[in-house]
Amino acid sequence: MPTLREWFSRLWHTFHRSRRDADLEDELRAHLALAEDDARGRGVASDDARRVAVLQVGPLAPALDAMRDQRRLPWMADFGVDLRRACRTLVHQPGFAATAVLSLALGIGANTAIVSVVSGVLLRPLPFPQPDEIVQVSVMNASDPRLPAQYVTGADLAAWRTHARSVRALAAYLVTSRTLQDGVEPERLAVVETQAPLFVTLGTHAAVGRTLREDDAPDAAVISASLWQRHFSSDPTIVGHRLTLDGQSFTIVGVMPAGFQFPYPRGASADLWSLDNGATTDVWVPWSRQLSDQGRVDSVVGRRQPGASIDAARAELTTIADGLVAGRRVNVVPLGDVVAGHVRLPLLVLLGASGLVLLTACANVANLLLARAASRAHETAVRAALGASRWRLVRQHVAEGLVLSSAGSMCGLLVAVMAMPPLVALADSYLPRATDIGLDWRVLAVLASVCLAAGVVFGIVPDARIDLGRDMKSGERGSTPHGRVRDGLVVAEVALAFALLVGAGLLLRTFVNLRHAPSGFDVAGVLTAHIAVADADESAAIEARVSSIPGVQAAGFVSLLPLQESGWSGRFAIDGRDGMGSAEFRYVTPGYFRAMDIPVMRGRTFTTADRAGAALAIVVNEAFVRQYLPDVDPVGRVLHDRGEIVGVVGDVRQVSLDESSMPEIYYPVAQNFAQLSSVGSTLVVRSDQPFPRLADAIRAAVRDVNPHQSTFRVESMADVVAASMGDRTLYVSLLGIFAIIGTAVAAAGVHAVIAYLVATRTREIGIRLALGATTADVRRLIMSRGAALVAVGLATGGIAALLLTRFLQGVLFGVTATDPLTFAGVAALLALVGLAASVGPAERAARVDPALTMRTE
Amino acid sequence: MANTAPKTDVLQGTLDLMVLRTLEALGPSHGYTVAGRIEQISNGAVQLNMGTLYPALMRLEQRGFIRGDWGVTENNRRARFYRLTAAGRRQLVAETAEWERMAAIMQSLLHQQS
Repeated sequence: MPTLREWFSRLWHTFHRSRRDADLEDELRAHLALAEDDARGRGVASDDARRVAVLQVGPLAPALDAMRDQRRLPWMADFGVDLRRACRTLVHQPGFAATAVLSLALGIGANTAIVSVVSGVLLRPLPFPQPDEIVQVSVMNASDPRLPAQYVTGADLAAWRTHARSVRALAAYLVTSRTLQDGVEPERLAVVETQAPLFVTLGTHAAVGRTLREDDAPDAAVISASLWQRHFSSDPTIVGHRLTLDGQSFTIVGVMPAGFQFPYPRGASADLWSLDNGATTDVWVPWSRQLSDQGRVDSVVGRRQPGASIDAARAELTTIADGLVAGRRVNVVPLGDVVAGHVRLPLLVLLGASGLVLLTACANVANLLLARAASRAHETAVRAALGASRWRLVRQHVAEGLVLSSAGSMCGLLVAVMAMPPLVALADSYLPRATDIGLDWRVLAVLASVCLAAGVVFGIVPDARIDLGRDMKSGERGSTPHGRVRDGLVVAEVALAFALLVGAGLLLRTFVNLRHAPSGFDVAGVLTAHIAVADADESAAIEARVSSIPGVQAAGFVSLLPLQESGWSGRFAIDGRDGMGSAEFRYVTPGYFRAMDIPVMRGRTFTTADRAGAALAIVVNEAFVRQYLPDVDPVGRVLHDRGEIVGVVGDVRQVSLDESSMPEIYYPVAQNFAQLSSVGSTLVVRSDQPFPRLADAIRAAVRDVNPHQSTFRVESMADVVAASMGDRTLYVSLLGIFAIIGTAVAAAGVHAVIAYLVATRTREIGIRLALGATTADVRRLIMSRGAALVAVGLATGGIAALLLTRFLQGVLFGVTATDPLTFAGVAALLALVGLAASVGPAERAARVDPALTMRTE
Repeated sequence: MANTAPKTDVLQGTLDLMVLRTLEALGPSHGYTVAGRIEQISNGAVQLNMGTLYPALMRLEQRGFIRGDWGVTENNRRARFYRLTAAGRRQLVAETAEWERMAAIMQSLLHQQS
C-alpha cells in the first residue's frame, strides 16, 4: 500500500521536477558502469564488457521509464497537459468561452450573494444565549386577530409570572424616544423602558458595569456600546456618570457589549421614534410608571422552558389570560420570527429566483459543451481510430469542462464580492439584521463544486455516444448527435427566463399599483419634521408660527405619521351601545388634516376652540363609521370618557399602502397632551416652497418659539411613502436583475444553438441556394427553427410560471399571480428576444456562397 | 498498473524488505552493491535488473525509509548512495516480524500432518 507520504512526493514531483531525468539517467549509467567494471574484472574483453553488463542488469531505457513513472503520478501530469490544451482551445474560441464563463459567473455570483443574505437574515441565530427559547408574547382578539387594541395588562403579566410553567423570566418593555441634552448638539435617542428581568430573559451580560436589576432606582441606566463610544469616548470609568434625557437625570450603571441590540431592529422603514441614527436602542432604563392591573404593557418577552413547545406555551398563557378577561388569545412567537418573519417569504422568493438563474446558466453551459462535442465528433472519432483510448478522450473533454467551470466559479466569486457591498447597503435600509450579512464562503464552495461537477458530467456525456462508424464517415460531418438534448436545454432556458420575467413583471405591477394606491392623503409639497414638543401650548405656538411662514398653506402636528409599521391603538365604548370596540389612535393639532389634505366627509375637524377644559371632541375616519356606526349619523355620538364625535374624515392607510385602513380615532392634542408626549410628535407642513428652504424656515420658526427645541429628521412626505415601500423596491429590483440575467443567458443559448445549426448545415444551405432557393427562403428556414424553439420554450415557461407564481401571491398587490396581461407581455418580450437572437445566424446563412461551399466540400 | 497488482504487490513487499535488510547489513551503499549483495546471498537466485531495483529504491525513498545522496565509489565513480532512515529501521523491524509470522503460518500449513 503506498503511504500518504509517497503520494505527496509523487504529487509534488508531478508539478516540480526536482530530480531531473538527467539525474535518474546518471544513476542508471553509474550502475551500468559498475557492472562493466565488474565484467572487465572477470576478464571480459573491453569491447564486450558493455554488452555483458546490459545483459546482466537490463537495458537502460525501460528502467528509466519505470523510474519516471514511479517518480510522479503520470496520469496527473498528462491531465496537466490536457488542462493546458483545454485553455488554449478555449482561448481560440473567445465567444464560446466568454458566454459559458459569464453565464456561470452570474449564476454563481447571484446565488452566493442571495444565499449569504438569507443565511444572515433568516438562518443565523440571534446573538443571545439559546435564542430559540426567547419568545415575544402578545394578546389578540380571539375572534379576529386583525383587530387591534387588545393588549397585555399588568394583571396578565402578574398572573403569568405566578402561574405559567412553560415560560419564565417574563419581562415587559416599552420603546420611547428622548433627547440627550448633555452633548453640544441635542441628540434624539431610542430609550427602552424595561421591567426587570429583561436582561435575565435575554441572558446577555454587560461589557462594563452591570445590567439593570429589579431593585434598581428609577434613575439607573444601561447604555449601548455605540453611545459609550460617541459620547463618553469609551471611558472605562463610566459607571456612576450621569446622563440627562429630556431633562431627567440618570446614573449609568453599565455598558452593553458592542452589537447588543434590544428590541432587535426589524429594519422597518420609518419608525415610531424616527431617530437620526437609525432604529437602534441606546439606553435602557427601568420602567417609569407604576404598573396597574389594567395598565397597558406594550411588549413582553420571556424565555420558553426547554422542552415546552410554542403551542404549549401559547395554550397555557391563553388559559391564564382567559381567566382574567375572556375572549382573548395569547400569541407566543419566537423572537427570530418577530425580527425576520416578515421578510421570509420575499427572501425565499428571491432565493428561488436566483436558483432559476443558476439553472439557466448551467443549462446554457451544458448546451454549449454539447454543441462543441457535436462539432468535434469527427475529430474525436479520428483520434479514437488512431488509438486514443476512450479514457484519454474523456479526460480531455473533462478538462475543458473543468476549465470552463473553474473560470466561471472564479468570476462568480468576483461577482459575489462586488455585489455584496451594494446589496448589504440596500438591505441595511429595508431588511432586519443587515449587519449579520457577510459573504458566505461555504455557499460559494458548494455552488462552485456543483458547477465543477456539472462541467465534468457534461464533458463526459458526449463521449459516451462516440460512434466510430457513424462519426468517421466524412460526408456525415454535419451529423448532429445530442440535437434533441440541446433543443431541450434551450427550451428549458427560455422557460426559466419566462418564469423569472413573469415574477419580475408581477412584482413590478405590484409596485406600480402601490404607487397609485389611494393613501388617503396628498404628498405633493408636504414636508415632515420630528419635534419633541414640551407641552400643548408649545405645539400650538409652533403650529401658528410655522403656518405664518410665507408660502405655507397649512401645518399641524400628528402623534404618528401614516404608513408606519407601528401603531398606537386602544379600546373604547360607544354610549348607548353594548360592548367595546377598538381603533387606531392618533393625536393631532387642528392644522393636520389640511396639511395632509385629508378630506372632511361630515361635520368638522378640530379648531383651536377644542382646548383643554372644553368639551372633549374627537374625529373618526370612515372605516370607523363603517364598522361601528354604519346605521346612524355618527356626528354627535359620544364615546365613553373619550369625547363626542364632531366630524368624520377620509380613510388614511395607517400601516402600509397595501393594507386597508383600520377604524381610527383622532384626538385633539390640546385635550390629550399626556398621550402625545409618550408617542412623540411630527410636524406636517404643506407649502409651495422648495424643501431645503422650507426646512430652514421651519427650523428657524421652531427656534423662535423655543430656542432649546430642536428639529429632527426632516423629510418629505413623499420620502416617507417611498420608505414604506422600500422593501418592495429591493425585491422588485433584485428580481428584475435576475430576470434580465436569465433572459440574456437564454438569448445566448438560443443564439448558440441556431448559430451551430447554421455552421453545421452550411453545405446543405449552399446546395439549396445552388438549386434556386432565395436568401429569403434560407432566412425563413433558420428563423423558423429559432421561432419553434422559443415557442416551445414559451409554452413550457407559461406552465412553469403558472405553477411558480402562486408562491408570489403573498407579496402581490392589485394583481393576481396569473395576471394575463403580465403573461402576455412577457411572452411577447421573450419571443422578440428569441427572434433577435436568431437574426444574426440567419443572416450568416443567407450570405453563404454556394460556389464556395460546394468547392470546399 | 491495476491489472497486475496482486502479483507485483507480493513481489514488491518482498523486494522492499530485501533492500531494507541489505542496507542495514551493509550500511550506506549504492544500487549496484545492493543488487550484488542480494544476488550473492541468494546464490544467484535473485537477479535484480535496473528496471526493478531503481523504481523500488525510489519508492522507498518517497516513503521516507531510505535516503539517497550522490557520492564517490572506492574506484572513483560517482554513484548514488542510499542509507536507512530512522523510519526505515522501524519499518524493517515491523516488516521482518510480519514476514516471519507469515512464513511460520505457511510453514505449518504446508507441513501439517494429515
